[in-house]
Amino acid sequence: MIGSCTNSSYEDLTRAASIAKQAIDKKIKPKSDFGINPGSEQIRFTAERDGLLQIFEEVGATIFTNACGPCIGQWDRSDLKGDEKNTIVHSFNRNFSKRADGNPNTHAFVGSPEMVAAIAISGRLDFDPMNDTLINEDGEAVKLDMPLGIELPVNGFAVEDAGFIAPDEDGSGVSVKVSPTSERLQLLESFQPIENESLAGAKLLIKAQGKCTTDHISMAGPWLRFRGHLDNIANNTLIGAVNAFNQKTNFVKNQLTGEYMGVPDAQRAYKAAGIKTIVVGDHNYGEGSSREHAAMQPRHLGVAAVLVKSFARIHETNLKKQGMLGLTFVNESDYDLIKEDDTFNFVDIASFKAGQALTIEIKHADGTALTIQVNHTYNDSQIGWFRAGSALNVIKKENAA
Amino acid sequence: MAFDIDMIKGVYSQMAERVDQARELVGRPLTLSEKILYSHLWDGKSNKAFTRGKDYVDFAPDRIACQDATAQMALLQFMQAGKPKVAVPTTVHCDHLIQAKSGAVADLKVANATSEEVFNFLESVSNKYGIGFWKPGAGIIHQVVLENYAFPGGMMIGTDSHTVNAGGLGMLAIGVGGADAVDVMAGMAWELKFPKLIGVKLTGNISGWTSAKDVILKVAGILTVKGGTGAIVEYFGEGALNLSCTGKGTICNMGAEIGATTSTFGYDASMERYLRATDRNDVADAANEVKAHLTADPEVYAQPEKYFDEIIEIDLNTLKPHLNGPFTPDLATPVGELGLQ
Repeated sequence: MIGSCTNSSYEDLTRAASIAKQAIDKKIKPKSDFGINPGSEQIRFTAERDGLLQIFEEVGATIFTNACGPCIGQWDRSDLKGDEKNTIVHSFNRNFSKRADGNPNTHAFVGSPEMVAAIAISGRLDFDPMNDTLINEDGEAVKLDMPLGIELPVNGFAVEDAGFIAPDEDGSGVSVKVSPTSERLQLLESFQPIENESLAGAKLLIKAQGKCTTDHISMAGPWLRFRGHLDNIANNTLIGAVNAFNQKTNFVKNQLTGEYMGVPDAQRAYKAAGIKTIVVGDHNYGEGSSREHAAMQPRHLGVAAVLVKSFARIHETNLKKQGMLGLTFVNESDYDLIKEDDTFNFVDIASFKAGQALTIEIKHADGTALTIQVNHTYNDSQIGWFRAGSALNVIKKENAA
Repeated sequence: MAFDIDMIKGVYSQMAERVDQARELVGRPLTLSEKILYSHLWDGKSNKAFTRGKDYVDFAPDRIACQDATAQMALLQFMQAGKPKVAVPTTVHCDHLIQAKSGAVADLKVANATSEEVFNFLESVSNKYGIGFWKPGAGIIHQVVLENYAFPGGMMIGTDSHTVNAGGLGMLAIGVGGADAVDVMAGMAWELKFPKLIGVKLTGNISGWTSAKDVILKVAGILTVKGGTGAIVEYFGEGALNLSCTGKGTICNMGAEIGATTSTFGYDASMERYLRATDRNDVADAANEVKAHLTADPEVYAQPEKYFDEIIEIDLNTLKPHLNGPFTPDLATPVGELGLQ
């Protein structure tokens, strides 16, 4: 496969086409299927005008949409029946397991467009076009000549409809199209500030053990379909995190009923009862992809604070932006003191200040209690975000003023 | 004519003063990366030299690009900011929600039906808030950005890890999460830990079967998938000057595969040719006027070991075509040798 954002310049396509053309001229029947992903309509249109796409089509290539396609797993392969072992060679950028087609048995190799063309024609991964020969349809041994590229089109780039839509000069009258019944999109409502009083009697939602990345907090895969719908995607909140009390994922105690259930279900029960919760975590909590859903989902569901041994910095900032409390243990070993049925009182949250630790009273189910100190890294303006409910609420207020 | 040419000219009009101030502050010649970083400070100028890999610094990016998957939550959030328009030029590109199956015409039709509501939302929200919208089929975000928006010496952020592709046109283009993009759209600063700098010196010339792709396949083999973390990779040397602008884009694109913050090249004749070929004589002319600031100071490339945290040297005369894989982009093997393993 040739193209993608990485390698679909005019130079790339001319160099690869110069190899594909030799297959035709030298009567070599390509051993593999070809796919082309042009990077833009301008490139596609120009390549078609200059006869490049026709060369690829002549060697049996499928020309895909000017889009990411197989490079991001958006590839519905028709050439395989199941998860058969197979090899693909492409000029894209990533070749992690399952990246292109979801099949763990697909071995993907990355090369230049011209090498991809040569390998596809030869059908051999160890083909060295500089030294090896191929047997053509007449039984003759032939060699591929060096690729020839043209840096920029001699007759200039051309395009009929580039696909660009300029915005209205004054967009104030434009209405944004979101259906209230959509499964995939949902307009957001401003988060309400977390009031001091609501932080008395907060319940433990989950004590996560070990690695808890943003993928554990907001799983990818099929859930990506809901990334524009906060309430729907919130149904994956923390379902990948390991519960420290039973080593299971998505199986936590609902303190209101004593039953064990999925994390989002338990959290929705607390929310319905008007009870705030806290999430406790291990080291480097929230590492991985920087996506904001990992902070927005717990916030949306009513989690007030995340208390961990240490944070991945971007996630900590994202929690602050969404108006939540991101806290770390002063004594890491206090993590071990937290029990499954604990209730938390933020006793000095009313005097939340930059550079000053906060105090939390922890009440166990047996009636005993202890007090711990927790650190935070909020500066004055970030405390303002917390008090306003989110960073965006602050901006909104400023813009309205 | 280029989009947002006034913004580009505005960046160039301040560049000389800001680069000179930075050079004085740092007290030595500057790399290209430092010139771009210091000329995009949120506060205009700094009163201290930043420590690489340590100081968190507020920047003011020139533009933002979002793809259709990440743009959804970003724009839903931006709607909450109560602003009539985005604070910096922004574009949305529909390229992720299209499945490849039987070919362009049929596949695009299916995508338009399956994701119609998402595309309609993105088009209408773009229209409302002054955002340029590239509809499904227009192209892949990074190629469209290189063809239309990237400019030497600029700084942009994008909600996709391969935003770094625009380094091929001599800018610092950095992939971010949606929350960062929302902040900048809403008129706030963008924070980044001041990056470390890796210099890659390219000597000789590529020829025959070797291409720009093989440069980055080789670099990936050397640095591995984590070797660029927290660093900007700056390419230079005779070999860099002889690569096409789009070849440079390929190299910068795959900088994401070594974890680099971004990668870039100094402004040169290949970039000027590409700008002119893509109908941006205005950008090329404006860039030519501030040329000296769009590449490192000459002392830097003459003695790179004094200015970069790490140096890699690659001789393009002897570089062979590579195939990297399987399962990871840093397993680099020269062609013809795969069968031997």
